[in-house]
Amino acid sequence: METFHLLSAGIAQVLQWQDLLAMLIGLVIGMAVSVMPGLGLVMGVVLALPFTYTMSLEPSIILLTAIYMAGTYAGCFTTILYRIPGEPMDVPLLWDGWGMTKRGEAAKALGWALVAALAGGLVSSAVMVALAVPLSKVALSFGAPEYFAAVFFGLTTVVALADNSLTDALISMCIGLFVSTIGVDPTYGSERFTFGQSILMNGVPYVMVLVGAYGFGEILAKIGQGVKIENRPAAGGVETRFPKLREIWAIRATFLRSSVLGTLLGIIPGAGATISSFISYAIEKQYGKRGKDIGTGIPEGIVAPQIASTASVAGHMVPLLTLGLPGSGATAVILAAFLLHGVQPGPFLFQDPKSTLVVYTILASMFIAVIGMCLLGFLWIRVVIRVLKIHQGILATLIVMFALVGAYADRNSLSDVWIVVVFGALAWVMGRFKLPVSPMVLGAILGPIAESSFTRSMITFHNDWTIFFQQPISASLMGAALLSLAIPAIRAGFGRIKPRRRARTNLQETRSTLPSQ
Amino acid sequence: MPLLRQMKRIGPYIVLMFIALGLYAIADRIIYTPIPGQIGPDVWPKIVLSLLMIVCVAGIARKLMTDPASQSDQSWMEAEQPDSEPVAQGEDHPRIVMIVLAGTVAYLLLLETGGFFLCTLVYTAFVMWCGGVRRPLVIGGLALSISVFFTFTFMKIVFVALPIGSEPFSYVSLGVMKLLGIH
Repeated sequence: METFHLLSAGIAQVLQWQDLLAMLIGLVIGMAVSVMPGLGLVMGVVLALPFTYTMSLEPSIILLTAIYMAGTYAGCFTTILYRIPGEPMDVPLLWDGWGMTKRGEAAKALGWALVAALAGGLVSSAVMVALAVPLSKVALSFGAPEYFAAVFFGLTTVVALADNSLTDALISMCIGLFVSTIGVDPTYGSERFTFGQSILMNGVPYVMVLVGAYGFGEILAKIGQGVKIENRPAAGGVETRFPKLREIWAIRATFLRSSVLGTLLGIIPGAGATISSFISYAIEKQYGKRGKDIGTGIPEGIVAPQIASTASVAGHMVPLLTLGLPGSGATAVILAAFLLHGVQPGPFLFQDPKSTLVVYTILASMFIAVIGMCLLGFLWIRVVIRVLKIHQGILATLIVMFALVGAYADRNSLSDVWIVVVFGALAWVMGRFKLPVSPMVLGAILGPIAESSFTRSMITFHNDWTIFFQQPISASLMGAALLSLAIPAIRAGFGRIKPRRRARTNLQETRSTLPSQ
Repeated sequence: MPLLRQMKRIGPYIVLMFIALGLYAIADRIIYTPIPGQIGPDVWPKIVLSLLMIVCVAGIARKLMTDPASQSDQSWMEAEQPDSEPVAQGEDHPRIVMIVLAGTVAYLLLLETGGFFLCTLVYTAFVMWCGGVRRPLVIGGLALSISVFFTFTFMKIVFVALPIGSEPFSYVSLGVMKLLGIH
């Protein structure tokens, strides 16, 4: 009852013009960046961060969350109509979305994507509201070993689910963790890896790593791929046609399965919208009633990934608001916005009535953002896809400027801009060597939390390394983390054995068919 | 040739491993006053760098053991994809990226002298040209619009003190600021 009361107060707060305007701007930006291939929603959130410096806390967070939310939806327009996935998370949507478009059912496919985004967003927001207070109570019992175990779990998950080999993802994560150790150590005040450079004394702010890797770095990669105008005509009519209620009812299991999966995957630090989208698609293919038809252009193939990617947004906000742990690039930027306003997210937010209202305003804004996003998508679809007509060279220039000036604006310091350029170049180089960038970014974000909780655990428990496995919560999290690392390693091992076995069998078959000498 | 190909595959891991080794040696020389019973500021970086070295060794072993032509490196996301027509891949122009990077470094070095407005005018025109825009009038007009937009937005709305440069370039920055009503 109290939750409902607080949520109502939050909704009343969101309906004030400043918050509503911030949300509308956020939704438009989120849609625009996710429509453009190569420009991720994280980039949208990162580039909007400098504009929140002069805003108050609530509109700032609402703006960034709205960009994040809309970024998981609008990519479906270009995916379904042009066969251009705006984001990696839209790739599973392409397989069935394009299949429907080829049959002349583009409007219906867009309707399914809209209904899925609406359902995923609303269900996960409701789950988040229900979980926020109980989880914050659990979080209050967290000590240093539990925090370390939670961060360790987040890091191993992002490594295990990275779209590359386990070793490459681990290397990337270690680079990120190392970057986070640069600067003056907070406990002893001693310099680490500064090489006498004043620019490195304050460390490497993770926001600059984010801006560099996802903003400047992605634009470098895009320029390297030869930016050009996509002048493809839309393959279907640019409109949305809703599915009938009985059609939705017929695939209710897909709706339920994908909503639960998306929200749960969102809660796990590291498993972002892309991973949720792919896993949900794979699960639907394996366990869905029409699993074998997935990929041929059926609604389940659109609904499963779209629900999961939108649902993961609210899921990601849970560890951020209750534990203060960002599980993705976008939530790390939202954390930065909180910190810039002098507010540390975590269980203590729920202790003070004033900050509790702020939390519930943010939670309420997600419900309204989901509805607003779908309304905008329905009404403005023609306007949104016009972004595709802008020459990408012009767009790249604008984004580079937002990245560089935004970095400068943080502390009026050119040092930050240099850091952005260095990490942009590093991300581009890593991309050329097929090293995933996301584990490095997450390593840089979670590194300071991991180090401080590790050091505090060692001090409190007299350098007893087994402490992480002695307490129930930390032991479970450490176990899950080790398991998440072991499974892909075993799968990779099997993956290597299979082709060899197949090659051996082929060789034997070839030999047996050869005429004897 | 196979040796050269193998070296190309494992080279980045070897380089990274030696960098990690060097950084480990630097971590060993971090100056601090030890507190009894408390771990020093060098322990965490050493753990991270040790892990990096171990993973590099594992990476080298993996590359040496797998056939370059094998598909074992295929990601699980690619493996999930049903058979369909491939999505077009981008071209590869590393030289353009190097030019853009060099231009960005020059832009940052000249920013304090030339001032934000003038440097941005030239830099944005340069990036647009590298990005494939070839019409001089469009480049000029857009570079001017972008420079004015960023000067106005960040100096007037976000209150950021962007560099105005040194004389004589500062006269241009101050003139633009006056025109835009920035005090």
